[in-house]
This record gives sequence, C-alpha cells and structure tokens, in this order.
Amino acid sequence: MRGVLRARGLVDGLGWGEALVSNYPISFLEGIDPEQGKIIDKRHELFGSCIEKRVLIFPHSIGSSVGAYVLYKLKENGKAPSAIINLRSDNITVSGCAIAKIPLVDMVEGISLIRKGEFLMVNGSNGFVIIY
Amino acid sequence: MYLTNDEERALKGEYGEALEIAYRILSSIGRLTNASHLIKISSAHVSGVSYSTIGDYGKDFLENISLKAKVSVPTTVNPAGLDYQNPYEFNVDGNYVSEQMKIIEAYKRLGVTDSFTCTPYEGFYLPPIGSHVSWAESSASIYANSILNLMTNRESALSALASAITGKTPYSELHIDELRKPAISIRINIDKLSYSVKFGLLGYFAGRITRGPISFQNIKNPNPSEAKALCAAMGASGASGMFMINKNMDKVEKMDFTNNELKNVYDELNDVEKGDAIILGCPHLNVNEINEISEFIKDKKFNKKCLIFCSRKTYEEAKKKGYVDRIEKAGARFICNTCAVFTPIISSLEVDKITTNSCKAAHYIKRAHKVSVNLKDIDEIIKESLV
Repeated sequence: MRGVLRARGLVDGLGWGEALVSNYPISFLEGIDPEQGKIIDKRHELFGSCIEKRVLIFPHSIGSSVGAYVLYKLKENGKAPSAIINLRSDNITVSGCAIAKIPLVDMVEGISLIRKGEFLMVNGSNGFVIIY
Repeated sequence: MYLTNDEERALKGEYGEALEIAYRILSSIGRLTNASHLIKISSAHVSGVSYSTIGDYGKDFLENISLKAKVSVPTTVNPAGLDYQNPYEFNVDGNYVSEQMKIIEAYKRLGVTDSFTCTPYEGFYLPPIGSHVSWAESSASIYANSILNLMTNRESALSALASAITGKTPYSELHIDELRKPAISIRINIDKLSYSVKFGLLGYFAGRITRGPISFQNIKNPNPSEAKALCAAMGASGASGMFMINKNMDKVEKMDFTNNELKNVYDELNDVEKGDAIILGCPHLNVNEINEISEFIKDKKFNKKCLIFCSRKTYEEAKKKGYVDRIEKAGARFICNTCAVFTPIISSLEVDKITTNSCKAAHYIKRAHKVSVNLKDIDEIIKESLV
C-alpha cells in the first residue's frame, strides 16, 4: 500500500479498480456511450478509453443535466466505473452517482499523488482513497 | 450531514428501494452543499418531463422508480414535449409520441398534479409564504425565491423528485437566511426599463455575473410578465437562484447595467430582424397575458404561424373568458402542457427564423433547433404580423 488520502465522501459505498485520470471535465451525455462503457468524445483526452470497473478521475462534469441518467444507464448495462473521484464535484455527477450507486468522493488531499493505472480503493461513505 | 434514525433506515433500504434511492440523492446532495440536516418542504416542482430533454435513459429511470414510489407532498411537474391530449396534432414521429406518453404515465403513477407547466405558481397550489420548497425548473425556482417569498435551491429533476417522494430537502444554500444575502448589486441605468424583453435582457446579463443572490438597484417593481421574463433569462444564462429589488446594499460589490450592456446582450440573442413563425409562452402564459394578446388582435389575422404555449388549466380559463376564441380566429394556435422549446413541434414548423419575446426561448431555441431568432416585445410582434 502506497498511501491513504483523505477526501470528502459524497456517495456511499466502496469501489476499487485501476485509476483512469483526466485533467479535463467530462460531459456524460455527449462524452460517454453507456452501451459500450467508453469515452466517445473525440476532443477528450480519454477518447476511446474503457471506463468499466475503473476508478474514473476528472475535475467535474459539464453539459446537460441529463448526464445523471447516463451514469444510471451505465450501471444497468454493467459498464459503470467502480468509483468516481472529482476535484470538486457537482450536482449532476452527485445525483447520477446516487441513483447508479457509484461511490463518489471529491476534495482529495494530495490527489496529484495518484498516477494513471494505479490500483485504488475509494470509500465514499467515510471519505478516503487508498493507493495500492 | 446528520440523519435521523428513520432517515438512516430509509437510506439503508429498509423502507424499500424507492425511498433508498431518494434518500441517497438527498444525502449526497446534502454533503455536496454542506447541509447540516434535512428539512421538511411544503411543495415540490419537478422538471425532466419532455422526452426531448431526458431521452430514453431518463424515461427508463422514471418508469422504474414510478412502480415503487409515490410523492408525499403537493407536486407539480414541468411541461412535456407534446400535449398528451393531442399528441398527434403536429405530425410528430410515432416513436417520440409513445416514449413521451410513457414518461407522462410514469409521473402520473408517482401521483403528481396534472400541471405540466413551467409556471406552477399560476393556477396551482401555492404553499404558505416563507415555506421551504424544492423546485426544479430554474425560472420557477428563481421566481419562488424572488417574487413569492418561498425558499428553494435551484433543484435538478432528480433532487426535486427525491424531495417530492420524501417530503424533505437538504438544509443548505438558499434555505438559510444568511446565505440569501446578495454579494453583488447591479445598478440599472437605462432609458426606460419596461416590457418583458428588457427585463429578460437584464436577467440574462445578471445570470452571468454570479452564482449567488443578486440585488437590482434603481428599477421599478416588475409586473408578473416582466418578473417571469427576468427569472427565465437569469436561469438560462447562469446558476444564480434569486434576486432582490431596491434593498439597501451598502457594502456589496456594485456593477452597472446601462444601454450599452442592454444592447450587447440584445445583439447576442437577436440574430435577425424578422421571423417566419412566432413562438409565445416561454415561460407559459397566464390568463392576463392571453387577454393582452387578444386585445392587441382586435379583428385582424396573423400573416404567419403563431404558436402560443400555456398550461391546459390556463387555456380553459382563458377560453371561458372568450380570449382564446378571438386569438384562434386570428389564426394562432394554442398548445397546452408543452414546452415551447424542448418539443419536436418547433422543427415540424420547417422555418429557419423564429420570432419570440422570450430571452430564454431565444437562448435555447437556437441551440436546440438550429434556427435564427428575432427578439421583440409582444406588442411589436403582433403589430408587425397582423393584417
């Protein structure tokens, strides 16, 4: 184990998986295909990446509030990320994670320590992230 | 955030899946907005009804939760993508009609009031002054805070639905007196601030300035039509949830709204000098506004298509008073319970230029339907289109 980072727990639950990191906001509605569980926004740095069972890290969401339902659909299809980490979260991500039961934290102390591909455990109930 | 024992048990799913989902939404939003606890609300207004906005994903979610839940406080809902009593009126694609009907059925199963309007404060249940409520639809929540003396945050479709089911909302932001104080004051200094378009332009300008409450200085109190235009435009351009008018604001940041700002906002929203069809009713018109149109018309006729959007309740009242017949005789059409923007009806008109008096409609219509917009006050619109 490489470290434990404190965070603000927003949506309850435990999720673990490889870190998929972006410095750019994501529009769920335009940017993610809930059937394939892939980033489909060609302008996004994670274009083509598979988000299923990963820990998806990005600053916050942008775009239509319908994006919340895209997270719900991802979960129904078994293609959802196992957890989400935001810099500072927003209403759309929070409500989407809440209905899809995807653990969510934000305001992680020392988030820059997390590197792409590292194995993480996210605790949305008590607010911390473990880097393995 | 503190939850009572009962709320904790609901969150764990002991009272069923629907309440579990609803409390998950509320507790998560509560943590995001640093709420201390949940408070009771006296009404809810839920958005996310038009199939054009929520699509298949939203429809699936609603169909699922509506089989397991009922609203527990008086709850109104936003307009749909078409009028469920006349769904085939405009040659809308059959799949759209059937999917839209499923959404409407889901809301009916949830036990909401048959309102289907973005102006639930006109003709539907109004809670006592000072009440906490949970209203989505940005124009309505700003109106609730600023005009009706209610307290609400700018809720989303999901958070308002969760509140409608539980009867509660997180105690945060605009529910707290201290946080309803504006930090920015806009001094209005233009020739004559009257008519809906000018109020709309002010709202559009103000919405971009701050996410917090706004104070307007040096303006008259808006009449209901002007207030609706102001709230709707403010909601379309930004995230602020309320304004105050002519309150004493000594120690806040000041900004000016002059003819210059007014013109810049107008030029941004207005693309052309004339439209090929007229859209009125964003937000939905009330009985007085319909009367106003009927008086402008006298016995003349429209020389282009004119669509007027309002709730069925308003339509029926206006019909009883004779206003509707006069307007319909002039060639305009009423469309009930439908959003003036998020509806396939706009595309079915097959025009490239739309005239409207609504800054909110101007903002969304050009994005949603790729048409140009002509923005004008209602008296001018009617004057130039009647023969």
